Amino acid sequence: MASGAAWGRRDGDGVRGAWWVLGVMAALAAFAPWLAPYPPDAQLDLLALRTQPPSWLHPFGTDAYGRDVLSRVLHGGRVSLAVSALAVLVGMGVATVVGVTAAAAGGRVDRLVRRALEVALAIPRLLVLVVVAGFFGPLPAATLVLVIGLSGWFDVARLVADESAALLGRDYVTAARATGSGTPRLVRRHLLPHLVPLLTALAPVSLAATMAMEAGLGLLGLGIQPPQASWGTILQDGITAGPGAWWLTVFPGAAMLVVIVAAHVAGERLGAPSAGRLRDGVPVPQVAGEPAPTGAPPDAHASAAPAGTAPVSPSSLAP
Amino acid sequence: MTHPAASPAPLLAVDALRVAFPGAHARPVRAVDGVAFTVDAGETVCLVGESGCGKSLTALACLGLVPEPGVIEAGSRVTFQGVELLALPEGQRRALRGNRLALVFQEPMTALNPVLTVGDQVAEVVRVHARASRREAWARAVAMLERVGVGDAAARARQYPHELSGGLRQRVLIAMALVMGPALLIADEPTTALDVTIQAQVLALLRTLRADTGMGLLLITHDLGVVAEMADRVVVMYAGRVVEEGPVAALFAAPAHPYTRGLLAAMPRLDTPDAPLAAIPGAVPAPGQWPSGCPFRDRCAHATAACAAAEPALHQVTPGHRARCHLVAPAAAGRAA
Amino acid sequence: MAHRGAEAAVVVLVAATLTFALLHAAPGDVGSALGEGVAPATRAAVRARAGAELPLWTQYLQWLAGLVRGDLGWSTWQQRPVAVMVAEALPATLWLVGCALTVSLGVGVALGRWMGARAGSRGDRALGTALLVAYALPEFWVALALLALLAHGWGWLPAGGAASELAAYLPPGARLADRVRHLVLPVLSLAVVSVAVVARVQRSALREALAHPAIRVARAHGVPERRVRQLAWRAAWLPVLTLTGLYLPALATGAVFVERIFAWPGMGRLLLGGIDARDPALVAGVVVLGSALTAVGAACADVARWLADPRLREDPRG
Repeated sequence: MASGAAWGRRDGDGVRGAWWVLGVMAALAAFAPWLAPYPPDAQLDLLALRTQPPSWLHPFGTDAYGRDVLSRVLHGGRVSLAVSALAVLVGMGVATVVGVTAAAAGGRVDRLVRRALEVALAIPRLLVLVVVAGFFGPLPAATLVLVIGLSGWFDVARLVADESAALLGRDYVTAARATGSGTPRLVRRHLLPHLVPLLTALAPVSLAATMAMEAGLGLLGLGIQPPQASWGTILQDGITAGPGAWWLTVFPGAAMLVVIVAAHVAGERLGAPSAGRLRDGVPVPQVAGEPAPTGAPPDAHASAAPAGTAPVSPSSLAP
Repeated sequence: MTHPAASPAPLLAVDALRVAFPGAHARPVRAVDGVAFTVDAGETVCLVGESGCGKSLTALACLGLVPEPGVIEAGSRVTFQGVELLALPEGQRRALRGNRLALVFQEPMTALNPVLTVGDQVAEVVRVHARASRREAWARAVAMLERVGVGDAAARARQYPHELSGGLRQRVLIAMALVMGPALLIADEPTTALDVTIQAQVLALLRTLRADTGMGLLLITHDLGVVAEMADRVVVMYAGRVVEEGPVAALFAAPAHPYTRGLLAAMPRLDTPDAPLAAIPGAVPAPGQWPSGCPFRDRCAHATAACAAAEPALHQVTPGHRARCHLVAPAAAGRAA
Repeated sequence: MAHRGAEAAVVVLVAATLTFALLHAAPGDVGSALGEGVAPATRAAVRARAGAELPLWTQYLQWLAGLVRGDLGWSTWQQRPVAVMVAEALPATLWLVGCALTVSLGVGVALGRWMGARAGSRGDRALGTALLVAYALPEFWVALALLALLAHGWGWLPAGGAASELAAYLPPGARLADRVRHLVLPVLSLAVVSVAVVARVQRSALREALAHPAIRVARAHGVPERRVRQLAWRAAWLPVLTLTGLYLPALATGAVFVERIFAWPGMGRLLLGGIDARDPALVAGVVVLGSALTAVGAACADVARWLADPRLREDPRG
């Protein structure tokens, strides 16, 4: 499928471009200590540089403590991206283990795990995070990574379970089983490698959702704690600074916007319910007159099972 | 191209019908290439061929309904009751569809809207074409369902498609097609998805309805058993072309095109059950991958150099029976068979 | 249908249990909350009165029994029953979320229908790109942007609260206008994202429905194109119902942020106040009630889908 996506033919370019943008943002974050003009926590001049709008010396302005916002956004990106990326790794790791286990075990285990995932998805994630971060906090960064990661893997697990079940039903898996391969070997050789495309498409979207969650917690004062810079804490400074200091929300907000949109474009190939899109790429003469052999019509059977048609995918990954 | 039909003005006349799809490297692929045939009132014509030969597409093109991104090429003509259909504006063509000219589809399991009752779906056709009140449309729908053999039609009409069996759904589709009393019914593989008993019932129903209403019936099928049972005349298609046409008896008794002979030989026969089924070697090539000259030549046992050089024309075998093969060309007639 | 209710009950029970466990595992309790200069005897008395000396299991059951009776406990922050505080805050949140949901269903379905019927056109692609961005953004981002532009920047709309301070002295018509003006930004912040979510699902559902063989049949029977789309939508709006149920938890999360940013006097602000004041009963009450409302809402959406979809009604499992 060269071009099987919803928003037009040049999607391949879009996806590649989005990965590039993500790469650049990651590089900016990684090299923040060398790129940032000032130390992020340095209070440069509490009187003269207090909440100053952007200028040549301070292109993103300064905050209430006379700190350079550009430096804070760069360093904050380092923290935000690192926390989110690690949390995504944790979450996707757990999700893969749970999803694969459920699919491989099958039967009652599978049903039970899916039910549990449904229940977990029905509880608003933020409410739990607020309780944990509020009553055990302030949480150190490592704990924050774990807490965010462990509260956001349920929908990924469901997708992994679906995909694994489909993969395990393939002929070559049956053939491998027939030749006496045990389940661990099947999973290692025939399942995990085939899950990679799904996981790489989910990872950026998951990253966007996680970053939003991290920044959101920061904004509520429950994430990374001041004076440590993160995009969330800068936004929080912006809210407390009041109406005039737009640069405190606009710049970290714009940085987030770039990452989030790029991540969603990068993951868009898997976006919204996918049944319609296979059709886009089908070479035409076959579908022209005779019935296409591509299976049942979408709504005759699929939608009879609400959970199955659920718009799993990025939408449910949103915070 | 002349029409062999006896009556001066056939009900439906298709001529030089060409349907093309954009192919790779901006080279359009002709899935239907110069198809011509006629259907008279009260006549059953069967359009026969393997899947991929363009027969369903031909049926859709007759209604001006070629699926995107296909196009009916200029020069194609579909004349229905003396009116050039392809030249009509879409609005007027729409008014004919389902009204004077109706189509029954091949997927009874899926061709009905799953969230509407079947009665609504039949009544919808009435309301589109006739100035009928909701109540009148419903009454006509129920009457039509009764007519096509849906028992307890008043109650069935209130049910949803998934509550009905495949045979009943096909009857509903036939009712939708016939509710306005069309002059021509095109039925595209109306029985393929059904089991044998139901198939026989649906075919019997179509025969009765044709006899009662005097409509023309264009039946599209790959099943020569159905052809033998239903057809007055047969049109055999291969690779988007008509390769042979003729009255059913002549065609079955003396098939002239090697492809038709192959099809007939592959047909299981009741009289000699032990005879091995001869199959045509090779598979139907995909549209756009047809060989030069005669598109059948690479599967044909009689192919000669002439077949690669030029595509044969439709040559007359006997009056009303024609085949697109060099073997039946007047010059070659002496040598053939 | 019964199983859908049971599922919602399980969700609430799990949320309640999780909250209870978390709050009890957290450092500090009623006793330590009193501060340092308190006599040990007083501390012990307070703990005893709060039931903190009882075995955890008993506390848990008592707390659950209280929840069932509608007794959400005693707020140490405001020194009054949590149920009363929640009852004060709940209407504001329901009002906010209800308006946002109405707007997003209305606008989202309309946009999705428009796009689905013109899939691949320039308008569809342009709108699709815009919706991808809206869909990707977190609610708080939208809230901050709207706040910066429409409230602080251009001063068109109030920046926070549910009503002006002097609203009580306004004539009824002006009071209503005041309420609406305060509602616009918070509702918009939630709706921008959820309109995108709804529109995208509606678009693809309509495309699927338009690809259904029944649509070809309708066209072949001369049904006009407008009516064809209408018939397709009859099947295509059903996934939107399912989506609504699935989206409610995310909407609840968004509401917490939006209430914080616009100082909206609802459950989200109560929750954050409870966190600041380290008020376990209040936090637990809000979390449990929030989860319960979300779960019930989702169950209602599923039941609505079930009632609206003839194919599901047949399923004896329901």
